Parts: sequence; C-alpha cells; structure tokens
Amino acid sequence: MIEARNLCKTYPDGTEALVGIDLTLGDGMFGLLGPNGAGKTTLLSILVLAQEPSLGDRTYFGIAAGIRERPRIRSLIGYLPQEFAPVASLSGFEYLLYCAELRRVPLRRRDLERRLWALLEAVELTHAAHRRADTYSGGMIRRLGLAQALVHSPRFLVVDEPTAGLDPEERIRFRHLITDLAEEIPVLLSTHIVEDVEATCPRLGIIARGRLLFDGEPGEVMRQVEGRLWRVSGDSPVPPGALGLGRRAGDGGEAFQVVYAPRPVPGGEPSEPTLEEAFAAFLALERAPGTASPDTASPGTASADEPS
Amino acid sequence: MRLLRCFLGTEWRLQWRSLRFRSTAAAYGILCGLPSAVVFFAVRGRTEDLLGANVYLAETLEVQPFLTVVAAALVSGNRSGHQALEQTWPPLSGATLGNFGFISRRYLALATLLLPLTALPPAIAAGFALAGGSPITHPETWIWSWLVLIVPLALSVSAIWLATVTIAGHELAALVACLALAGLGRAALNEILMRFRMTIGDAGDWLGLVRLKGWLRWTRWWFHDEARVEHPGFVATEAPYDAAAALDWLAPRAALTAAVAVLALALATAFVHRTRRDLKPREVPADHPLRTYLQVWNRIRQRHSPDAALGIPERLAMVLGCLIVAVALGFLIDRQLDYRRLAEERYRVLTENRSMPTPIDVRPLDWHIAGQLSEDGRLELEVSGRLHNTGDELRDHLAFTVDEASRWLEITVPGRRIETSHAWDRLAISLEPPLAPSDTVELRFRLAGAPGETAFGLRKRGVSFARGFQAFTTARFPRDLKDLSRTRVLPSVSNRRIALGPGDFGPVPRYTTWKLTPPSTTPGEAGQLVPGEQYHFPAEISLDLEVPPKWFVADSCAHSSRLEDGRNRLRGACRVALDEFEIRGGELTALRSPGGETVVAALGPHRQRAQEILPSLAQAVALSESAWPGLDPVDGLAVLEWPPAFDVDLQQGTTGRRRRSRELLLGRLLLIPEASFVDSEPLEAARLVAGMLARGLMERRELETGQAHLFRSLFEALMIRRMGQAGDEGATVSGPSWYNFQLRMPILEARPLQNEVVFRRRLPAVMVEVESRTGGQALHAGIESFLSRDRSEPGTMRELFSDLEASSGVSLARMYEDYFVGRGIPELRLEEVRSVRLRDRWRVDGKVRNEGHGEVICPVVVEAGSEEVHATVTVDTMSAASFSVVLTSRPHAVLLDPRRTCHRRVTKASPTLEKAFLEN
Repeated sequence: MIEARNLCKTYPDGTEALVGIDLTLGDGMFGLLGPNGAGKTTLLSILVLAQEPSLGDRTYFGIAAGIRERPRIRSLIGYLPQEFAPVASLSGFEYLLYCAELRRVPLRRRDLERRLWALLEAVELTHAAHRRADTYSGGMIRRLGLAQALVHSPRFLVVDEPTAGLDPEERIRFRHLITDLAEEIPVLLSTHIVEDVEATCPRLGIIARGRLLFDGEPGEVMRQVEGRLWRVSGDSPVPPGALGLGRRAGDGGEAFQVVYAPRPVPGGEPSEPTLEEAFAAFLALERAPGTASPDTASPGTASADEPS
Repeated sequence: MRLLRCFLGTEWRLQWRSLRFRSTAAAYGILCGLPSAVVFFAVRGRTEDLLGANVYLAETLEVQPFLTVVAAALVSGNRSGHQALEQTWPPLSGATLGNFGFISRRYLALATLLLPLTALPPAIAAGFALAGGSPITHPETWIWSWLVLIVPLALSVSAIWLATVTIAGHELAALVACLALAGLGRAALNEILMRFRMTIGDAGDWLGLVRLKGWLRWTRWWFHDEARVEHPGFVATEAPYDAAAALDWLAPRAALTAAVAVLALALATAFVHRTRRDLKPREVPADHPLRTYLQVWNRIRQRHSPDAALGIPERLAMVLGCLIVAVALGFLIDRQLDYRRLAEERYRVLTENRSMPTPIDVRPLDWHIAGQLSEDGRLELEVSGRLHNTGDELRDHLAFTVDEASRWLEITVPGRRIETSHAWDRLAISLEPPLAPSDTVELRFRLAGAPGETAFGLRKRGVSFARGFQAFTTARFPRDLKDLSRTRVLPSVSNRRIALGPGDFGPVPRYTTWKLTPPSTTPGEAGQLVPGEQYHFPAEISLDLEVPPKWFVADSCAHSSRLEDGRNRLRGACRVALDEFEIRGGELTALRSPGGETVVAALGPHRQRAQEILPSLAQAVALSESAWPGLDPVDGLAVLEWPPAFDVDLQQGTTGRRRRSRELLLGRLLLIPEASFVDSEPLEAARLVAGMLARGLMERRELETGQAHLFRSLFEALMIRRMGQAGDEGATVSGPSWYNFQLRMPILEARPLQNEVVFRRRLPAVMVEVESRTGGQALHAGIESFLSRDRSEPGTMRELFSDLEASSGVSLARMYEDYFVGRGIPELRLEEVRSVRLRDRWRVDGKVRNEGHGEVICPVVVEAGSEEVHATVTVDTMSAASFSVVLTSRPHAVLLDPRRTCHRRVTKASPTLEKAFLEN
C-alpha cells in the first residue's frame, strides 16, 4: 500500500505543480489521467523518490520516506520514466544487467542472467537482446524500459506515459504487458491517452493544474456527467452556458458536437457519455471555473450546484 | 565489490565502444610513442653516442605528461557529458547506492581504464629500446618515472574533469570553470598569500606543457648538423632513479591540485542528478525591470542546483574534501615558512659580514677523517686535525666552512676552553688560551647527518642567492614572488651519485673573507657571491671511510674504495689542500689498470666504454713521467663517469641546456660527465693527463686571473706535445667556415667555453711555432724562469713571452702582437715557382704570398733527389716575399713548411697551394 498525503510541489517560478494531493494506491492498476503539464510526471517523480515534495508525506508499505529509508524504498519501486532512453552503446541484455547490478539484485550471476532472459522474453525482446540499444525502435525501447523497471522484482510499478508515440500495434502489446503485470503487483499508469486507462485500469485519477480532480472507478467518472452531455449540430455554435467537448462523427457520417451543460440546451439531444467525454468534461470544467462541475473530491459526492 | 565490478565492466565496455575513446587512445599511443620512434628510426643511425634504454624513456616523458592531461580529460569527460543526454538516470535513480557511491565507483572505473593506457607509452619506449639493442638495466627507473610524472597527473586530471563536467553538465562549461579556477582562483589566493609574502606556484612544469614545447623545438633543431656538434642531445642518464628526490619534487607541485581534485569529486556528489532538482520557489514580479535576466538566472540556478536530499556519505565527502584542501594548503604554507626561515638565515649570514676568517698564519698540519657512510646518505664521522700557528702573534679565532645540513655532536679542543658559534655554513671557534706562535692546536669533531645543499629556486641565470632573496623580500606583486615550498634539498649522497665536497667531512679552515663580491653590472654574470677560497694550504690528510658495498667512491688523491674483509672501505693518505679534497662516487663498476694506479668507474651499462678508455689512460699516466722534467708525474688517476644531478625527467636539464659539458678535474680525480662519457669520440686521455700536469705547473705561481684559462690551455698543449700525443697539424689550424671568427680573434680576448676553438686548436698551434723558433730547451727554461719568479704581481702572457725571448734570444714580440693582441693569422701560398739550369747547377726561384694577416717566418724546402735545401722567408701581412735557392742536383718540388712549424691557417686547397712541382 502506497499512501501520499497532502503532497505539494511549487516550482521556482511560482508554478504550483502539485496542490494537496492525497492518494492511496493498492492492488491492481491505477490510471492517472491528465493533460500535458497537469503535474503527472511531477507526482510520479515524487512517488518514486526522484524528487522532493515541497510539502506532504509518503508511505510505502508502511515505510515512511525518510532519508535513511530511501534505499530500502527504492528497492520496492520499479519506474519507467516518460522519456526513457537506455545507454545507447549497450545491448539490451547488457543494459538490463547493468540495471540489475545497480539495483543489487541478490542473485548469482547465472540466476540473474536466467532472470534477465525471462524478462526479455516477457517483453518480447529476446531476438534483439544482443543488439545495441540505439538500434531499437520506439516500442522496443519502451519494452526494454519496462524490463529495467522490473529487473529487481519491485512490489510497485510506476509507468509514465508508456504508450506515447507508439504505433497502435505496439500500444496494444504494451497495454497487455502492463495488464498482466498488474495482476501481480500494483501499477500506477500515468497517461493522457484515455483509451489506455479505459482498457486497463479498474481505478483512475484525473489530475489537472496540480490538483487531483477525481479518484475512483471509470464508471463513476461517467456517472458524474451522466445527463449533462448533449449532442448538438456540428454547424451550430456552442450554446450559451454550455462547454464544448469536441466534435464527433455519427453513425451516418454526419458531424455533431458534444457539449456539457447542467441543463438541456436548445436543439440538443441527450448523449450517452464515454470515458473520454467524461474526462474532457472534467478538464473543461477545470478550465472554466464557476461552471457547475461534477464532484472533485471523491466518488459519490457532488458539488453544491449539481442537480443530482 | 560486485557493484564495483559492474562499474568497471560497464565503463570499459562503453569506453571501448566509443569512437572518442578509441581515437583518443590511438592518438595518445602514437603521439607518446613518437619520441621513442624518432630516436629509434632517425637518431640511432645518426649519432655515435651510446643510446641507453633510458633515452627512449626520457624522450617519451618529454611529451607524455601534457598528452596525459589531454587524454585523461577526454576519456573522463566521455560518458559524463553524455550521461544527461542519454538520460541514464532512471536506473541510477532507482539504484540503492548513493551519489558518493556512484561518483567514487565511476572514478575508480575510469582510473582502471586510464592507468593502463598511460602505461602504454613507456611500454612502447621499452619496445623500441629493446629492438634498438639497449637493455633496460634499471626497471625501477621506468616504474618510478611513471608513478611520479604520469600517474598523479592522470588521476588528478581525471578527478577534476569528471567532477567539473558532472557539476557543469557540459564539457565546454567545465573547461571554462577549470580555467577560471586555475587562473582567477589561484590569483585570488595569491593576493591573500602575498600579505604573508607567500605564493602558490603554477602547475605548468607538472602538467608538462613547457617540456612538450621544448621537445618540439629541440628535436627540430637537432637535425641541423651544425647544431649537433656542440649539442649532442639525446642523452639520458643510466644512473639509478632517486625516488625520494622525485617525491620531494612532486609533493609541492601536486599537493594542491590533487586536493582540489578530491574536493571537486566530493562536490560532484551533489550534482549527479539522480533525482530531479529541488529548489525553493523564487518568484520574479511581472513588473520587475530585470525580470528577463532574473528568469534566465532562475533557469541557470535550477539547472545547476544540487540534488535533493543528500545523504551522509556525500556530506562527509565534502567535509573531507575541504579538510584535504586545508591540509594541502597547510602543507604548502608550512613548507614555505620553513624554507623562508632557512633562506632568511642564509641571507642574514651572507650580508652581515661579521664572520672573520682564520688568520692565514694558522695552517693545517694534518687531518684525520674516519667514519662511515650509510645508504640513506647519512654520514657519521670523527675528524681530528692539527693547526699550527706559523706567525708571531697569538691567535684565538678560528673560522671554518661546514656543510649546512650536517649536525654537530661534539667539538673538543684538548687543553683549551672553546666557544663556538655556528650559522648556516660557518663555524667560528674562540680559543682560550689563544694559540701561541709556533704552537699547535688539535681539534676533534664528531658529526652526523646527511650533507646536502638547499636549492631555493630563487635564482635566475646569473643572479646570486643574495640578489634573488633581496628581490624576493622586496617583491610588490605575487608574480614577483617565488614559491619557496618548491625548494629542494639536493643531497650530497644519493643512489644517483655521491658528491662529498669540502665541508662535508667536517670543518675546513676558511682564510678568505666571506664578504660578498660587488653586484655585477654585466648581464649574465652573477655578482654578490661568496668569493672562493684563495689560500690552499696543503695538509696531510688521512681517510678511512666505510661505504655500502654497492657504491664505488674515490677521492681527490685517486684513492678508491675496495672490499676488505667484506667491508667496502676508502682508505689512503695524501698531501692536499683541505678545501680541494673531495670524494665522488656512485653505483659504478670499477675497472683497474694492471698496476692499479689507474681506475675507471662507469655506470653498469657503460662498462664496455670504461674498458675502452682504461688502456689509453694508463698509457697517458705512464707518459706523464717524461712530460716535464722537475714536475711530479701523475702517479695515480681515478676516472669516474659522472651522471647529472637528479632531475625527474631524466634529462641533463631543460632542452636549452642539453650541452656537452667538459670534464671536471679534482686533484687526481677526473669526472667525465655522462653525456661526454657515452660520446663515441676517443677519450683524449693524453689531454686529460696533460691537464693534470698543467695544473701542477700553474700552482707554482699566481697567474693573472683573466688569463688563467689561457695559461692552462698553453701548458696543457705543451704537455701533450711532450708526451708525443699531439696531432700532425703542427702549427697550422684548419676548420669549417664558422671557425673563422675565432681563428681571427685576438687570443687574449678569447673567453672560456665561448671560444674553445682558440684554446683547443689555435693556441697549441701557435706554441708549436714558438717552440720551433726558440727550441725545446729554451722554451722549458723560459717557462721555468717565468714560473719561479717570485713577484707580488700575477704572471701575464706578455711576461712569459719576454722570458721566452730572454731564454732563447729570439724575438717573439711581433708574434705576440700579431696573434695575442691583434687579429692576425697568416694564409700562405707559393707563387711563381720556377727552376733555371745554370750549367752544372739549378736555381729555384719563387715567392711566398701571405694572403692573411701577421708576420710569418716560414721555411721553404726544395727537394732534389736525395737532397733537400732549406730557405727561410719572412712575409708580412698581405704581401709576398721572394726566395731563391741554388742546388747541385735537379730539383723536382718546392714545399712550403712541410713540417708545419710556422703558424698559419690551412684550407682544403692548401696542399696544392703549398707545394709546387718543377718541370725542367
């Protein structure tokens, strides 16, 4: 169990990267959704002890993140950063060996090598194990990154934007890998791709402007906006009092747009929310303060002017 | 250890795969191997000198230090610069080791890579040496040279560069930081130290840039044939390496840099960036007039801010680094203070002029020296000597010169109460009761210590210590100060060589005042020097010194050490002035002549050369008996190969001073500098013995100081001739065109070392003509008359020529004026030679033309079958003189001075110009 309480991070220019984040991570996969610059990477860096919060506490399986405990905590965490790049002139196998040695994996050389081969097989890189890493494709590098994060058998895995820039096939392959992993250890998946979270995470959090807007099941996100999404003509402007969530093509090929509004809008038809639309509604509401918003504290509660 | 192995493996793997490392290593190996390749391929075939293995090493060491600096920086910065770009921090970030663990292991990994790389050039040099037939006789020299000159440099530069690049994040920024620290940092530190009259010297000579430039200049220059005549170069000593002296040289130069390297590494542990930067917010108000600059500064600050949450090891490392820098600074300051105190004492003693010398009527009778010399250079002696008052006054003051580094255990004067005062190299003893006329006093000394000389490094060329220290004390800017921590104590005894001079065996009476000579106004000449001893009263000296078995030593009386009952002892007795008694030696192999009177000792690799020299020396010693009637022959001679004083780079000195130096004669002990010893030219044994005989002549009368070298050369030439060892040039001189200036200069104006052609070639030629004109007996009588004249004024060359004229009845005045005062040197040729038959006789007419300057009186010989008819012609400057000879048989040739008895310059064309064949 990983717990973060009142995590705050303020950058030198005064930017509040994180504001009072409270988060508890248990079994399974937790998807952290947020737009670019929302503070996802900062939160993850703080959770993997790569960065210090300005304020707040962290506890890892009951161990508080004091200076003396950090080596111990680090051995519990696997981390795949957003801009992962292996040492270019090492082969995949050598790189994993290097990481394993740095992590002081307590295995004899032969056992360690056996483990590394198993990892390479798991991430489907055995065929390229002895190729220099700078010849790997983007997907291969991410899979190698995942292997390095798992090399020391961590009890908690953090992956930051792992599928960004990957082609669909690689994205699916990578999602399957993580999903399999989440059956064994808790995984924190940070991404701005809703589809990844929808496909893999039984629980998600939405972060924007350093604040955790939502923490719960995906269905709950959708329930929060149920009855407030309206489909209007693609040609007409966004009705007054509503927030545009984007255009879409209907089954017949006609274009329409989805808007969020607490009450029915003129010419609008009720729309069944998708996770992506619900996420977009949360972000739109965050950008337009004063508009009636769904609950930002916890599932099941509502804001003051919500017509529940 | 497993983690360290991981670092080593990864470092080696990554560096080996990097183009930068491979090209750096290749370039380093090639460039460092270049000097030994030059020796092997270009020099070996062009020099006749013995090229020892150390020559290859020494040449390599000329370029290797600086190239090591460059290579260490390139290799150490290799991955550091790429580290951020490659974003390899995730595994590091997650690793359980701390920043200190990372940096220290990374540094160790680099060291294991760099050190073998730096061992490559000496290995290449060794390969060339072995291929060139030069065995490595002292492997420890190679190892120590590498350990002293290369390893500390590689480790320090690697640490500084790794740390600076880690902190600055980029090699260019690191270079700027390093230059700023080395320049501005040192300047600032020296500004502070200036207040205490101290300074920290630069590391230029340690980094080797000066040596590299010197090597380039020297090597290019050497390949000009004319320059090579006087500058043989490419001589490195084969004497053992003095590791203690090398470390003493290294410590003050490397201490601060090495300490800064440790501190830099410690500071770098805060900038590994395994974690993201963690800075407290610093907001820039939107309306701030400097907001743009402040924002830029914020970004720089964020980029170069230290890592968050440093651990205890990192903090401890920083504290330790600061402590090490403080200790290094303390070491340098303490050393400077120590040597400054010593220099101040020396300066005070030199300038106070309070020391009174021993009265000249108190003379030594006998001196007994007994004791032992140990391998660590320590001398333990018991010396007893008797002084006799030959005057008619009571004498209560005695003054002595002593070694500055020896320590006194005891001074006793039986039957008298004494008071002693000892300052630097001066010892004064007051006697109570005083020494009465015709009375004798016995002095007993016990002393122990390691004799040596302190070299403060204050002196520039031609500047005495007194002037140098005066400049030091009045310096106004840090750059005018000298880093006294770099003072070196040059031991008299080391495994390199043993040089025990007067004062090292105990006190030597001092008769000449110690008052400094006046400051010199001539550039290059040192003023304010302690004058040399002018009175050399001989004493009966007996010596019994035990030395370690590995050493060979000999004294000025040509006694040499021998093994007796398993102990190596130098024993003997002779009569010699105390201030001229010296002992020299080293790790030398001695060869003795069958009679044992001549011994030649050489370094092991040069044993063959000693074997070549020994017979000619023994022969010259034997010939010395007939050289000059009335003069004691050389009844013993010890010749030592004399290695240069210790210098870390094994060279004779800096590049500009790679000059073949002359032999040094100390009584009957001849020191041949190693550079000359390995010279392939045959040793001029006769000249050396003649030099000793000449010295015997010179001691008989005081000679004009400015002409002493001239007299010595003159006497030496006479001795060589009388020993039958002169060449066949006779009174003629020849030589390449660049000799012209020296051949035409007035002999009296010739300067030692600068005009050796005059002393070695022209003066002997002139003396051949003098002897030819005066006759041998008259010459001998004239010189004896000159030397035995007891005048208060020193003898001059003009006086000698007057004596020669008086003894021979031949006028030599014009000759003296032409050659010694004027610029004359004749150049002769035969002209218009013809023969005419006069019934039963033949007449030969012709002219002798002098195309040079000076009057010449020269014989002309007409050959006619078995008959030879001589005529003498006198020809003046740029003129011709006729001769006419009548013969009874048919002449067939006319020869101008065939026995070469008249002084003139000859050229390659002279054989045809000085001989005419007659056709009848």
